Amino acid sequence: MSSSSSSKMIELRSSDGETFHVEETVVLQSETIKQMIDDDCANAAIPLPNVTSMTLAKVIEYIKKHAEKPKDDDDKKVAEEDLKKFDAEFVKVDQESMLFDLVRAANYLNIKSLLDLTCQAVADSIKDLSVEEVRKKFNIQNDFTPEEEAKVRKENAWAFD
Amino acid sequence: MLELYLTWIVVLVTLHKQKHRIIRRMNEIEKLDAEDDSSFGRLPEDVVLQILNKLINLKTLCVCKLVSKRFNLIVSQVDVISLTSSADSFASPSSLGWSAIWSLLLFRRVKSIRIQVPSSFDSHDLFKWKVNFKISPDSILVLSPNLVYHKKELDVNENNHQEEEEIEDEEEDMEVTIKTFDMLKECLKDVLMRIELLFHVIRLPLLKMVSIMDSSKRGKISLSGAKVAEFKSWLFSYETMKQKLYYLPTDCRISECYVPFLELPVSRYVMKGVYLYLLEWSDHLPDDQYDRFTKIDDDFEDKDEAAYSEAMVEIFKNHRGRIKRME
Repeated sequence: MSSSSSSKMIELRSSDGETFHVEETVVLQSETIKQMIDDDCANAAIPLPNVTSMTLAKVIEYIKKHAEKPKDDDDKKVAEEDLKKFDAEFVKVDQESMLFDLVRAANYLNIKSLLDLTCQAVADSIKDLSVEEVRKKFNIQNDFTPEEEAKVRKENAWAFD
Repeated sequence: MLELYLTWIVVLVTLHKQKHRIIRRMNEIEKLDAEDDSSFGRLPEDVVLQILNKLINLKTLCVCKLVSKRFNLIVSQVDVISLTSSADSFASPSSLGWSAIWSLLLFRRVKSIRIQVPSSFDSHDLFKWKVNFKISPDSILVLSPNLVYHKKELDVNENNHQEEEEIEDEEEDMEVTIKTFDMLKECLKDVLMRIELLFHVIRLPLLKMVSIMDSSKRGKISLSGAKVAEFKSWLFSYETMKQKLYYLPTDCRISECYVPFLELPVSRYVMKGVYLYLLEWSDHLPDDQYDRFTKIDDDFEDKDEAAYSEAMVEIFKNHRGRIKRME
């Protein structure tokens, strides 16, 4: 195994060419990068051509926080609460696009807990919206023909009252 | 030497493949970028499904079906759904509650369903009831304490309908009995409605878990794993469902038990003036078989439910002598 020392640093390069240095133990939360390290592909900077530096900085903030280890059992409870608060704040982003960038990054880097968290945040933002509001909010084209739309509407009529 | 050389080539080839796999994946994601610039358009299908799978609420899922063709296609694959039916009744298959069920049945990949139906009872009453299953529903248990409190929290819930006193008067006894019968009849009506719901829902091919209860978490029916399949075959083994439904209540047995004071060690609840009713309608009623009610099931929504469950078990374990059959 390549992870003999905990202080080994891994270099990540974002799509806009910025480099980030992260401890190997932290970055292992990404299954994608873990795979690269296991395959010995991580000796030079790892290019992440579809993650911008802004998104990558957020991702690193997340995995760093989630890599913190509580010292004892008392600390563990506090740490869990603290982590919950952190997660809740973490997904409160100013721009919707940032949330989607995080979903994409989490998916690409294969960080399960982050993908779960960000998907839940997107799902929460859909709740209680009408069809038109969902389309508008996420800029989705209605590509149904009027007939198709009428059919779907009829099948689920109770939901649109 | 040659061997070493070959190993080295294999390593190189593997690395090369690895690199290509990663590049391919990156290209795929970039291609998505080009197609559609909406936030969802840039997400692969499995991720959109992962998001939509967290919506759970049937109404929201139905809204999503109408957003776009892609949404319609992906949302139809969700596997967890919950439905809360508001005041609309399930009285006739054309009522609002049922039209929600019909739209639920269009989600063919669903594995887990939770349905909350309107309650037939005052939500302030402390009684709770549940349906017992072996293969099919064969009995209901009603637990009606007059006073419930948690030992630590000390928030006392008192039933408002009657002061607890030993009933000696025969006339009063009659009145209580009639009230009990009415209540049990109402429960039974609800059971029939739940079975009818199950009758439709159970046809969903991938279903692994289904639970139905009312808005006060009463009258819970919960099936999972092998029980779903067993119940399915029971349902279909009868000539017509309706016949069975109407046949059910004519052939049943009621037992009653009164326990003045119950202390529950696990949930740390205390109950006073507890009535327990058991209504059984199985085809072959065993003479005196309460053992099957002494097993604690662990499928709870909250600590209240856990306490009621514990109380029922406690009575069948330690107060069996008090149980008497009603004529």
